[in-house]
Amino acid sequence: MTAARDRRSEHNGGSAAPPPRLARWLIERIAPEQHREFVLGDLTEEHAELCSTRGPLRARLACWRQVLRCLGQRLRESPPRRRGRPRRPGEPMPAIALQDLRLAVRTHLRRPGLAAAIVAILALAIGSITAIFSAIDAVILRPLPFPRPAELVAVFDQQLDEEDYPASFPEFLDWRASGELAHLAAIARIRVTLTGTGDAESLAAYRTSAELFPMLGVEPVHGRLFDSEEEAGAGPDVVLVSWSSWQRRFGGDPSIVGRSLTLDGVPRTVIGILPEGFEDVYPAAGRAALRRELWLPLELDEEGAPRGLHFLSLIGRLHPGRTLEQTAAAMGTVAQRLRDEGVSRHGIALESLQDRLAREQRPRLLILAAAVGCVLLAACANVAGLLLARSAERAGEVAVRRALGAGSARLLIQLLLEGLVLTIAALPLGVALAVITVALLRGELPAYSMAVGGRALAFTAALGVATTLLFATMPALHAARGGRSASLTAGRDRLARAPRQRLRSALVVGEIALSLVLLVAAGLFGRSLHELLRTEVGFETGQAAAFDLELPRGRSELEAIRSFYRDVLAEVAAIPGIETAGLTSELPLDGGGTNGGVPIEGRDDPPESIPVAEKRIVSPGYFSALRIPLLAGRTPSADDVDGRPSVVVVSESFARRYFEGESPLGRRLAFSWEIDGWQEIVGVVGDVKHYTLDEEPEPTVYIAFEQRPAHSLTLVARTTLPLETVYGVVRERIAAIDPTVPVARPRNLQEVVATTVDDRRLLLALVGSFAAIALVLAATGLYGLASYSTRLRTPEIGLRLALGASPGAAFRLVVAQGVQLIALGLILGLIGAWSATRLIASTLYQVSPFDPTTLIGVCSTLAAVGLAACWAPARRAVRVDPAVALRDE
Amino acid sequence: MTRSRRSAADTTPPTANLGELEQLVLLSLLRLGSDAYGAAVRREIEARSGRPVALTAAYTVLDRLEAKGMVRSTVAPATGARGGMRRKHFEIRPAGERALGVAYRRIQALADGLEERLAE
Repeated sequence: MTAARDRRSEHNGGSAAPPPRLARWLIERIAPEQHREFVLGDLTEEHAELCSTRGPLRARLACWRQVLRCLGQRLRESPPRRRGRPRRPGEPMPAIALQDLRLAVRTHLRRPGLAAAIVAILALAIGSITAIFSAIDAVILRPLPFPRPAELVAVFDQQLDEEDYPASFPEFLDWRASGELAHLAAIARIRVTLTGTGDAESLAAYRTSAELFPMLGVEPVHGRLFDSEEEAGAGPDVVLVSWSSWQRRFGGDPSIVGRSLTLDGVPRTVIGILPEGFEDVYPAAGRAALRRELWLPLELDEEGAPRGLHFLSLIGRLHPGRTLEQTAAAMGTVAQRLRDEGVSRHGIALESLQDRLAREQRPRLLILAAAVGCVLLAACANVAGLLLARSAERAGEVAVRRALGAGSARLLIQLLLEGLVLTIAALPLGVALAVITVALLRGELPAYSMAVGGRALAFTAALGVATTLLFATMPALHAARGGRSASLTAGRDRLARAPRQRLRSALVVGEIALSLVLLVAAGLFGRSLHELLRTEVGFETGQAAAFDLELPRGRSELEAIRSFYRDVLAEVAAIPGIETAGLTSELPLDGGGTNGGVPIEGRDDPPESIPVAEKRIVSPGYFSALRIPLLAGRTPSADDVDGRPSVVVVSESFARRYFEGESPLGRRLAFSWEIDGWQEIVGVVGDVKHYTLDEEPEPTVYIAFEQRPAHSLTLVARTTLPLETVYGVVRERIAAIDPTVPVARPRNLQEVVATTVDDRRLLLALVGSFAAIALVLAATGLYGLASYSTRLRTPEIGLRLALGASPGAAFRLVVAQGVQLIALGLILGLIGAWSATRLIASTLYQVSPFDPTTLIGVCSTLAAVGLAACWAPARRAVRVDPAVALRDE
Repeated sequence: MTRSRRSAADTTPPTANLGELEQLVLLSLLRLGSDAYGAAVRREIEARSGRPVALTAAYTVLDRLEAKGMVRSTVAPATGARGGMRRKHFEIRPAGERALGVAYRRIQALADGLEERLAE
């Protein structure tokens, strides 16, 4: 059969396409000289035949299969006998064979210490950059795990001052009805209390509209999803369970579907299990502790969720074929129409969901990428310096090889191969390092499914090749070129060494400059973190514990809520060692907040200039528990109860901004958050920061809890007891009042404040470690160069000493060279830092990118470290014995 | 002097031991007859035995067999279908057939009575 096919090929002519050029090129190098023509001919013939019988793709595949097989055979084969014979002009270069690799490995094993140092440096650099790439890939590059992710958009309410406000429920209905988006889904973050399965527990959950799941292509693994009737709250009470919650809480038992869970005191039927990996719509939503376990239908109506209440996150999908800009314009028209009809005063803003989610992390990751790039460059410069020194030692070897007929290209390849061997040894170490670093990073950014995956490994491999070229090319070029002039006998040809020394000096200067840039960045981050932690938050953080209490929503009688929290305050205040205790709807700097308009009585403010304020519900003890100072009037007292005229307290900035010098006491405003009518301002308290440490305090209005009760509140207790004890005692007391109320997240206020700068701390830690690595690299580079050049100049120094120079002069000779390099490195580094700090200016807080303290501190540190690195070689120069040095010469 | 004598074809004993691939190549030469060249040998072995063979390996073995005097080669002129390259044809020589016969009989003798087990 095969024979028949062969005969047919005789008549085929030369019409078909030849095999791929790269394949031919490879075969020319793989096949032994005496077979080359026949092998190539066979391949060509076979390819042409397969092209006509089975198509070009099959033909090409078959051809490549052959090439790879030949390559494998060639590598297994014993070394070609032609080795060592000079290459004749015009003869093709011999292939890189296995023995070249073996030679490279043996070369390194002859100096294991040096090789190990280089491998360690490379592994460190490759590991850091792979880890950071994995993070960038997970946060910025990788598309969202939903079908056609580019069509997904985040939709916001647009108010005067802010572009990305949450939407209200009526807005959601209006916008969805406009039809400008193919889908629009609403999401509200909530907490629900689960009872009846052991201890009462407060779980993170979402309320969503039914459209969300089909829009994101999410199918339940068991059961079914919501329908629109259930979304509107008209159907039975139902709930969906997330995969991880199903596994953890219910042991992955599918029969949970159809069973009932008591949530906020209401039984809800589990109708479905969501698929694995779908834990949150927003991968960036936050800490692992906040993974959403349950998904409830929206169940809203305009009465319970009026137009003024902005709390819904909206996600939409563009109509296929329409761009974000077109849709944004169309939505703008919808907003205009709604304004014209007098329905709403707000606009609509759209942003690609992917951009939205990456926005927070992007600047930080780019800074890290730049930092890690500097480390890689410094590592390459360092390794190149080491290899240059090594190539000086090998000048003799290179000269011998050249004398035996090795061409420049052949030598270059061998030397590059030696570099590649180092990189290959460093790669697994680097990947291991990256895996560890990513595991640590994942602890900090748990919401991202970060892993050293295929993409990162491919990136690392490419990086390895680039790194090799970066560090090995220069020394290899030098060695390959240098051997020509070097005589076989003398390793002392000083003329041949001069350019090598210059190159090494340039590399060391580069390392110093790079480490200066990184140190400046780390210094600025450190300074701004320090400044941030020093800022006035408006309350005292020491020795105070906080707990979240969540009364089941089913208990809707206001008097029951009041009496429960009254009991809590009384019980907790009675614990010996607790000084004061108070309640608030949201603890400052704890990640949450409610705000909105508060009209002031007697002012006919047009809608857009109604005062906007943060709104908090507080109990009488709150201000003393947090030590927020009272500036005028009084704080809510135990007498401000239901039935008495309702009162509020405002913050200093509220009084300043909206009363401009007048006293706000006695004036009335409308708190307008589930409470009607006017409230009298009875006091002014100090400002606190609600969201971040770098913000200006927002105007705030506090209302008395008794007059505006709420289900979920945070208890704050100032104490003299150890906090661990307080956590236990408070839990006990509250369980004694009502065991169905969960007491969640015990924490102290210091932690709360520290957590707000976690991201910065992480950034500082990473950039700081990169800077430290770069500093060590620069110092070792300088040390290596100084010792080497001292050795090189030993005869010269000996001569000088013999001619009467003082040891001090010899010392200065070596140090002067170091000082030159350091100074040059500092100047270049400052120029680099000047352009680099612009990148980070936006992440700094109250520190100028050209902060003189930082710059001076960093420069003097670097100079000191650099001088210390020159110290030992300079000491050696002093101890040079002129007699010995000159005898050697 | 001694070196050139050792490599001369006619001094190779006809019963020289054959490697596995050598046996397969010789067998395929017997099958292909006058149509045998590198790629055809490779295809024949692969198609019949399923053992993958690199083209360069086939040529190396054919070369070695020629040096042992078991194979004869002729070079045919270049054709367009081969991109202007020549084709090298191989033919089995009596010495090759003898060596193959010896190898085959050895296998047969040792496999005698084991056919069922070996066929599994």
